[in-house]
Amino acid sequence: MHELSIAHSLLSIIERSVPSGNKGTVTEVHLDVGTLSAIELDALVFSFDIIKDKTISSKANLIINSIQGKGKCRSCGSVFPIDKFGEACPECNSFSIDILQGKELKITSISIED
Amino acid sequence: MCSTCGCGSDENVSYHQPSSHKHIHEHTHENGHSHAHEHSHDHSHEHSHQHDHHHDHSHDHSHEHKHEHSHKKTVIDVEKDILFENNMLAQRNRGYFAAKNMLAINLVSSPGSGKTSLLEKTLIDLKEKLKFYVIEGDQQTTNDADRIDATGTKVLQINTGKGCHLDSHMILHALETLKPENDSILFIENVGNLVCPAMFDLGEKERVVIISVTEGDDKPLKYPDMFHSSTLCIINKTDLLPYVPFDIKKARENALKINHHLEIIEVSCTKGDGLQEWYDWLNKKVGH
Ligand SMILES: Nc1nc2c(ncn2[C@@H]2O[C@H](COP(=O)(O)OP(=O)(O)OP(=O)(O)O)[C@@H](O)[C@H]2O)c(=O)[nH]1
Ligand SMILES: [Mg+2]
Ligand SMILES: [Zn+2]
Repeated sequence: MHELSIAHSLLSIIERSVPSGNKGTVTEVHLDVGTLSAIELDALVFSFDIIKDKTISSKANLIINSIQGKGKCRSCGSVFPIDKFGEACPECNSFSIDILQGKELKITSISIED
Repeated sequence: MCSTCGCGSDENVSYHQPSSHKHIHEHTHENGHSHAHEHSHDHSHEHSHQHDHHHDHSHDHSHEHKHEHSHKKTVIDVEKDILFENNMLAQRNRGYFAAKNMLAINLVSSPGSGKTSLLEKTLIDLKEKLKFYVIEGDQQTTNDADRIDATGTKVLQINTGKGCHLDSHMILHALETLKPENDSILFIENVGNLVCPAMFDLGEKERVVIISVTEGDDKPLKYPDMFHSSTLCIINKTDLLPYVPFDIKKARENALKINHHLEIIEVSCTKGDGLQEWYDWLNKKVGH
């Protein structure tokens, strides 16, 4: 379950992003997660909820912006959405596909409320 | 507890070296700590810009009842890869390998596909020509490190406890103990797992995924992330092909569907078939 390590990384990034002296509560954590990022979202949320207790993020919710995968065919050049690896080009059936987008795993912002 | 790379389970990670029967821990950890801490501090100061948004919700039109709902919400732009700690330390390892002209290879597979067997063969067959080091990753035991030690190769065992993968931070500490010489090859045998290690860059140049013919030819389709991130696929245990329904042509097709750059080599570690092709690949990678 690598989602647990990911959740730990998330916590430590949050901790270091809150300016020292800010006594507010972290309420929202905004993430960009690509559909090809190898993350099970349910497992990530589950892990985060378990470990956030007694931390600065104990009241925080993960708000996930899912980013649709996008591939480009090397054979015919067409660009199309993909949800998983191993899908053929819808135009020419080639499997020579470069991933343009969808591997994102990023924390974009956090919200703190007094 | 080590918070350098946020891996979280560091207190359960231990390092063992069979030949010296040492149990290494504290000192290396402290070194890693102070250094990496500096890094992360700089980073978060540079990148987090603070925006104060005052939302004064006074929707009141009459002046008598003016409640001031001015709850303050601060939005902090972070814009950071969640794995940036791991990626940063992986880059540091990569720089270390480059400076020492080392070839680092991350070996990944399901449990029991033959990672250690391939290493044993390789180390014995090539040790006169090339200088090798091995880092072994397992949740428990030093069994694999003992097998490598028996070939006369310097090896360090990392026990990850409950951890299901190695990360770049563990490799950084392992290197402090292993102290590899220049112009050598470092094999890193990851924890037997086709899912989790895929996301964790260790700073390696090559990632070799091993499957065995007892596993089913649809393995690449079931675990696409690992096959997508690997540079070479080894299909092992070909001596068992007469006994199992494994379509090797289909396995190759499936692997290439996931990753059209992937090189594929068929071997039998026990019989020795195909090992020369693997050795040629290794020699090509070190530029011989
Ligand atoms: N028949 C056959 N058996 C093999 C071959 N290679 C390895 N084995 C056997 O497969 C079993 C597992 O091999 P290991 O090399 O320990 O596998 P591993 O990937 O290192 O396993 P973990 O470290 O536990 O994940 C052992 O019993 C080996 O003897 C092969 O080419 N043919
Ligand atoms: Mg092994
Ligand atoms: Zn096409």
